[in-house]
Amino acid sequence: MRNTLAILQKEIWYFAVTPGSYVTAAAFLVLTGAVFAQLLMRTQADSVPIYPLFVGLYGIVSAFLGVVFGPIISMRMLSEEARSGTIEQLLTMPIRDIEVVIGKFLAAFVFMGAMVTMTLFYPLAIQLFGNPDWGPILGTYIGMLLVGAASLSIGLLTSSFTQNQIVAAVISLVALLFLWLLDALATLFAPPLFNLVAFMSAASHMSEFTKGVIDSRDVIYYLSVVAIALFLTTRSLEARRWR
Amino acid sequence: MEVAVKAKAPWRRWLSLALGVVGVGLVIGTPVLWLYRHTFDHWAESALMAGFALILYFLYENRVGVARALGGRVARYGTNTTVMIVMFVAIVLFINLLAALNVQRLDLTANKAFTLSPQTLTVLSRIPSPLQITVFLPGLEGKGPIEDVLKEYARQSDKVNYRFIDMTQEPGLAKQYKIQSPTIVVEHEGSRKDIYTWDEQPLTSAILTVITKKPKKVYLTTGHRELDPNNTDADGGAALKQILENEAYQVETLNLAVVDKIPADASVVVLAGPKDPIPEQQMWVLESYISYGGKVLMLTDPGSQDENMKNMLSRWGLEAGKGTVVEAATPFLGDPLTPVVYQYPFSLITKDLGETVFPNSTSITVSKNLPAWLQAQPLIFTSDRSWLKTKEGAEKLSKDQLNYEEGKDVRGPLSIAAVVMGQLELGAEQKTRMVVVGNSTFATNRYLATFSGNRDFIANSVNWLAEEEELITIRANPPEDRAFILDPMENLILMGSSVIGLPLLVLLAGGAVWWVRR
Repeated sequence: MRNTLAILQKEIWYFAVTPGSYVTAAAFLVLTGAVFAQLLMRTQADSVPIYPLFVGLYGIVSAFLGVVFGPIISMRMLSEEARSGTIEQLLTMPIRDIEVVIGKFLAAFVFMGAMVTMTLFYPLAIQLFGNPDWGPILGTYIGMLLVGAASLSIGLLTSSFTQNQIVAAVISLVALLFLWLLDALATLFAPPLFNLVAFMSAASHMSEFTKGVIDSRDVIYYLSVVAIALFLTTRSLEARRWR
Repeated sequence: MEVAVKAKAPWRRWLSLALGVVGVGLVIGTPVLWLYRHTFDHWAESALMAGFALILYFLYENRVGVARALGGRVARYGTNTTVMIVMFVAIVLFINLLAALNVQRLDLTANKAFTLSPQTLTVLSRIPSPLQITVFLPGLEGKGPIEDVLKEYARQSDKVNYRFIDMTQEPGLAKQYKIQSPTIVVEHEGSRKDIYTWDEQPLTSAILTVITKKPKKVYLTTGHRELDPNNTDADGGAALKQILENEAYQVETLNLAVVDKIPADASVVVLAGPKDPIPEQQMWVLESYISYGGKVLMLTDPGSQDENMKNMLSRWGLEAGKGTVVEAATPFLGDPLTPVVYQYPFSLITKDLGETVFPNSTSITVSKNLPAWLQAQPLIFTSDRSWLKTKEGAEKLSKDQLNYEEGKDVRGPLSIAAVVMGQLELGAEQKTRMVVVGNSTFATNRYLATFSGNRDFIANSVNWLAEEEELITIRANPPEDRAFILDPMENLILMGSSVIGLPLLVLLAGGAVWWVRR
């Protein structure tokens, strides 16, 4: 626990002082801001219905988070240690692998959480002009944090495979894209295979959150992805000792 | 051994590898195909067997390498790790399965848009046999929101089946159903009801209508300037009729002047605010119905009761006040003549009822000395900061003329609606039931459209009168319309600040950190 906290602290400090993190966050905000502006523009006519606006916005924002920004944030976390050789040091220290993995994951999650929190600017701005229902907005933020966590954990896993962060990011991008597009793939099948494939899709579990409904199945799905990915990451680190 | 391996021709190794891959493909592909096609015939069986045979051949051809791989240190650790991973994944999948079998849902929306109302749950529990809902749409792109609602219905009742029909793809079926525009068709054992909106309340009403095989009749009296059930203006009574039809009642009008008794099939008779006095002969028709176990909902406005009406009410232990209620504590939009009511004394009709509004009401007081055969209780009270202004035409007075006058006005809390039950005539087969409200404006289109509490109050009262206590409940709210309006300048500021302002702030913060650490 203490070790996890130490790693968490070290990694958060790294995020806070690296210009790259600010560039990442700014890029994220430019993209989400552009989507928001685009949606505003499209519905500018006279009266803008709030709910569809946010459904459109968060549909795209969570896809950004789930597919692109998870890998970008987590790509260097283990691959960089392997490239610079500090991983040997880390693995020989009296720290369990799982502590390393959880510490790094939590740090990435905190950074991503900060990024996501900044997008609260849009609903707060709307609050000045209208009366949005905060239920679906709250639901969406819970959903986005879960989607982001799943994406980060897969990014962390691929980061443990290679010394090259770009390779790590690309692998996880492909894997996440596949996980998100399973939804479309599912339509090729008939039930019960359809249900199984659709269940495995990361996209299909986001829609209820956007509506303002927290369904236990969706929460458990994302937590399961996180748990499996972090478990595999731990095994992958451990494998360095015997491979 | 080593020699034997080296001696093997390369083409044999490649062949065994290729056949092994084909074998794995068959072993994985066949069950997938089976799930996809739902048939597992001889071909599939043979393919599966062939797949296993090819894998065995591959293992035999490469037995040396396999044995070496299984025996080594890496293999031992690898197997160990693989087993751990498989077990971990299996546990996680099992948890997901458990979660799928025991679903918990939390609805965060303000008006509980994705939680079915108590009324819907009651109606769903009453469906006796399978019920089919067919949604006709031109193209299925827009089916999402409708499916959300239907999914919830099907989740709550295994009797509910639904399907979507693309009218452009299957025009024959639409023609067979005689449908030209987007429609939801609800069918149950030969009964059919079509609706054209996607909200919960109309859908639940449609279900209630098709499962109610013999609808009960509600008569609205006419001839004394009552609310007109065909009038859709703000002060008309069309919404009142609609609400009763939503509860699966058959609503008809009844002119008391042309009948010598209330029709025998009447479940409930509604007097929706008669402004003219009811002549003695008609009052007699009404009273004989009431005395022999009749069920009446009476809405009566301030000052509209003649002697006959007063006598009738007093026989049932009630008295209409001589004036208009003034509410100082909870006036609607500052109008003291329009009390808003949030809390109710306990009764079946007002249980869980939302806020109700009663503009220009008089009081309906329950007599202190009720005979033993009669039960009566107030349903709705105004606050203790209300009073009955005993002046005719009080609704036309200005605010400061409505002040409480000691000795003349009556102090609140005042009862503005009451319920009565009893058996007056020994020969009566059933107990009489009456709900009397000191106002009819609350049941006009304007107020029923705005206040879900008013709608529930009317529907619950009629359900209680018709002895459909099970249907006394709280109905779904129509979805809220939340929107905002921006002028071009505000729009520009909002867009600029989100695309440029916010990211720039973050970059500046990053720059500052870099500058300090440099």
